[in-house]
Amino acid sequence: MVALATGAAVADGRPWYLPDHAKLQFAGSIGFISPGVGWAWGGRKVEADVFLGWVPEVVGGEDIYSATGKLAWQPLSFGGARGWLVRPVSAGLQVTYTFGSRYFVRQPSRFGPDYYDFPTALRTGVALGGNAAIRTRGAVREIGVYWEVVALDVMLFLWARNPRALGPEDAFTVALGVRAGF
Amino acid sequence: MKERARLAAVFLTLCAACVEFSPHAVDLDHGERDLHRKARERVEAGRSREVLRFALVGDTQLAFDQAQDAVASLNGRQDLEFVIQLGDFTHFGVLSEFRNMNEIFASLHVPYFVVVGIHELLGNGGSIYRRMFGPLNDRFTVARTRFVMFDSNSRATGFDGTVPDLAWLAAQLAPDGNFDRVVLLSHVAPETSDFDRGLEADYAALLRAQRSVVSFHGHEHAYRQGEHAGTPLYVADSVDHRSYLVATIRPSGELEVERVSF
Repeated sequence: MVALATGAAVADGRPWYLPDHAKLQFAGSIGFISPGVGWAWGGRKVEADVFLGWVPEVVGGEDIYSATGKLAWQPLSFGGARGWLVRPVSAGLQVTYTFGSRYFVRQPSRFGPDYYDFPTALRTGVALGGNAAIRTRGAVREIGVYWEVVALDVMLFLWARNPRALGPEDAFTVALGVRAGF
Repeated sequence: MKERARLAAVFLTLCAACVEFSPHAVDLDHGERDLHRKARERVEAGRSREVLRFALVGDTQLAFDQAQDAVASLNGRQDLEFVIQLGDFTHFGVLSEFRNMNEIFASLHVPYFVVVGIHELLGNGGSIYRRMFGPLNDRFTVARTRFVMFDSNSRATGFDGTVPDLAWLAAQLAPDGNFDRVVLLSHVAPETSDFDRGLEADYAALLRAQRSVVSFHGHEHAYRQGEHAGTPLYVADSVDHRSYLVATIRPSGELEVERVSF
């Protein structure tokens, strides 16, 4: 599988910097709808993506724009009937930057040193899930869906500190997406 | 058809809880909005007692477990008319934190108010606070007592002279025939490093002009009883120090404040 995927990429002669896939994600704390592109290595054992996220005012109360980087490890893959390929395990990390003057990476000078010890503009998170894809013919070689549960750093931290009042349902939310492989 | 609509409603509710679009989104369910107006209506409608008694809870940031214990303790009492949380309700000012903490407070048997803390003003927290509770500066009047909740987080606006809003405060304290005494509620106490030094004198003058004032604050995480401009001042423990305050105002205007451990 590894050889096949790598071989295809080389045979393509596609420059390395051209994305290997495009994604469109729903939810997952990175936007209501987030288009992204990414690169895959080792027969998709490792995938990296960048997303632009948008939360429209009608669903989030305010328009919110963000950028997310995501790195995932997908150790297993199983071939299924009719050309389906299932990767049941995907473990990823994501970092989201929210645009806007309300958020900071380094706290503004009006706060003394260490007043706030966390950047409001940056949120990291874990994303656990899986995906399924089917081979297609043409420029898009593969089309697939993925599903994840996502937990942001702040909610994992709060859950760990408050095991009685909070639970996994307070930390984890669901993300869904589609992926087109080139 | 009705059954299908109900199923759809259940599905949408479940889904609303299991997806998040941004930690900084500000959308709330109907039952989580405009809570101060709803609380005020309940407080003003439900009076029957001679004595006015209410509880004051300090900073709840990061301490959901202890906030839950405080609420359980408060629910064990039958003598309270309402509860006031004194700000830093949240730590990161993100939506899920507001919703989870509010869920704990929503299980109080009595109405509750939440004063704006400096951590509520992080990121989109101010927008979430306004939607959930109401204006940063607000008031209600009960038993001829005017309760004034105001933003005293001067550091959040860089000590630019706008916070606290003394013109607004003066308007709330102007005699209108409806109150004989004032309870001031703000997160940051005067004469501390996060209160605008430039506004101290004018703030003190507003207090001195009143016949009867008491103020309650949070922010410092440790209980303290003091005096400011000739009026009593109390700072409540944060909930992780496991105490809250109970204030009693008798019809004569006499005030008692008790520190209650839980």
